[in-house]
Amino acid sequence: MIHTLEKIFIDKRSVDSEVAIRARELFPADKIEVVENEPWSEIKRTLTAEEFTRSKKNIFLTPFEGQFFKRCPGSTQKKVLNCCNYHVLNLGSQCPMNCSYCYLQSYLNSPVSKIYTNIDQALVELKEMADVNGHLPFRVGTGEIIDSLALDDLTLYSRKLISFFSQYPKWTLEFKTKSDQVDQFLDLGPSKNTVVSWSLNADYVTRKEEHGTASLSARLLAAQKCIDKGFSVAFHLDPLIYHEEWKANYADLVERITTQFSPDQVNVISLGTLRFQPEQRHMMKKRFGLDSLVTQAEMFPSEGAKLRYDASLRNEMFKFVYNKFKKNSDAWRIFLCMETPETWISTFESQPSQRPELKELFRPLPNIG
Amino acid sequence: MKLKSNFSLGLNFKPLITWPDTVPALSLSSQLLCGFDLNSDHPVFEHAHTSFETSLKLLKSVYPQLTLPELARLVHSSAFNQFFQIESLLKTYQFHANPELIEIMAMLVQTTREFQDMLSVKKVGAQELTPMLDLDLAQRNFVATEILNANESKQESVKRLELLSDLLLMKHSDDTLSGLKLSELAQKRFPVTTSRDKALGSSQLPWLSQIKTQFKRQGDKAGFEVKFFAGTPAELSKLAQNLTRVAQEWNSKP
Repeated sequence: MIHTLEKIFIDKRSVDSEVAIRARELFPADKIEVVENEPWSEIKRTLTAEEFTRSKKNIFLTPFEGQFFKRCPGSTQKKVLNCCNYHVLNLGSQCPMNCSYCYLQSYLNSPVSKIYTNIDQALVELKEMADVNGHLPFRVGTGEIIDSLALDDLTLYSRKLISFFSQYPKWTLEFKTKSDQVDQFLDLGPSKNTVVSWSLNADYVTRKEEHGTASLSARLLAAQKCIDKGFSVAFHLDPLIYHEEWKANYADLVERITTQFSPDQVNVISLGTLRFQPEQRHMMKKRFGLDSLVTQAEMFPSEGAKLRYDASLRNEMFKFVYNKFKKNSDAWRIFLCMETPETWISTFESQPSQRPELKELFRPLPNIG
Repeated sequence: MKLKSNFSLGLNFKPLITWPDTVPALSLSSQLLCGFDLNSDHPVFEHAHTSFETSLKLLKSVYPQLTLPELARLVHSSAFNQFFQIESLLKTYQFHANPELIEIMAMLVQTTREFQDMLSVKKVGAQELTPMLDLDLAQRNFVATEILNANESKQESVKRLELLSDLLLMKHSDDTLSGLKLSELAQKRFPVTTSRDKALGSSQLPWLSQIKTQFKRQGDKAGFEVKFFAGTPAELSKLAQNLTRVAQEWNSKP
């Protein structure tokens, strides 16, 4: 997916980094520019729709000066949302793909995509924490504000991370992607504590809303490759998006997953429905018009100030997908992402901590991020 | 000091506030800055534009507050815009100059003065006007006219603006939207939720007659507001039993 990049800006301080060297091998010289300052750094405000779109096509290779490792944003809303102990390792920001519902549209203010070139520093930070808490089952994901693998052809960070996590078998590394870029690390398998996870959606929704991503078939094929080489895989059916034929389309998605994979091959399946910050609406309308299922959606103010579907519709969608999986096999491990205890109870008739298959995932752990 | 008749009026800026006729008006380099409605023989103090800072200081002392439509008119007034730097001007009146705000101001000056004044009176903010940005001029004029005709509270006007803008973008035609109540617009914008609400709200649940219920939507949840009075523990038990029965029946509905 690196072919969508129009320009690679290299921070003067990162010229000798592995990523910068690789960028010079992969891209023609006229696409690369060494700079002293961040491009468009004079923009210190919310981005316009055009600036946001431009930021997807221009990348800045630069060292990161903050803390790489953090708790998932869901954990800061523990009072209203059930939290699954997810930690995030941010090795860059922005995404070359273009999903209409992407929350980065109200989250990122940087006018350029970034790849942090000092991954070794991130690994030092991670090691300090793992040396103390390596015996606890922490889950660390790299796909919070950047797709974990879409730019991995350029960075090859997956390889460094898989090798690092092999020293801490209790910890789990989770890649989250809508790409099918896996070939670059398959030779490092088997690695059971590396979970390669895919955001999946109904084929119709993928085509209509997830622009520039790998097709559903390509993602499922990539997942199969990972399983074959001894990696764990997970699926995030998130966001489930309401549309007229949602039942038929999501039934088809579940059918494709359950036909191609068995519960013992899939670490976990998370479900979420469409949600976004109110201030994102205008940006989405500007970028995708009102033909999109997302901008047309019937959304209401909800917990955590986000807009969500009507609660009873959410329950219906969760129950529908959940029951489809459970009808196939009771062994599928399914949980809801960023949902309230009320929704858990009305969907599953229990809280995650009361469900044996999810107990470990939602077990309270010490705060290390 | 000169008389008002010696000055250009620059009426396209004219703010809502009326200048008192007991004090002289003020001008900025031959442009009347206030007292637009006073008699032509009213005295005017003259100020020359010497720097952006002094002109802004003068404006702020004449108008301690200006609304967004008033600022939009000032920014787009060829008579005045030469005297102010847009970023400092907006900052002085607690607005942050960003591309979206600039776009909103450009849109505002194309709407009718009546609409602008209504927005000023109701203190409608820039963020609340963003849905209109995606419309063409004819659609904006339609929305403005509908809001003026409806003559509602600020909250209702903002809701109407948002609903109408969305519906127009969703290809509903003007004539199917004109004159509708807010609830009717919401029904068009949220057809699935409206029909689900209708089904739940009209469902026959076995409430006791002493229990007053009202169907309500609160954000992403729809349900019943329940009100009752119990004078004795026995009465309370009876009501509680009924509520349990209602809950079971509600739960069994599809």
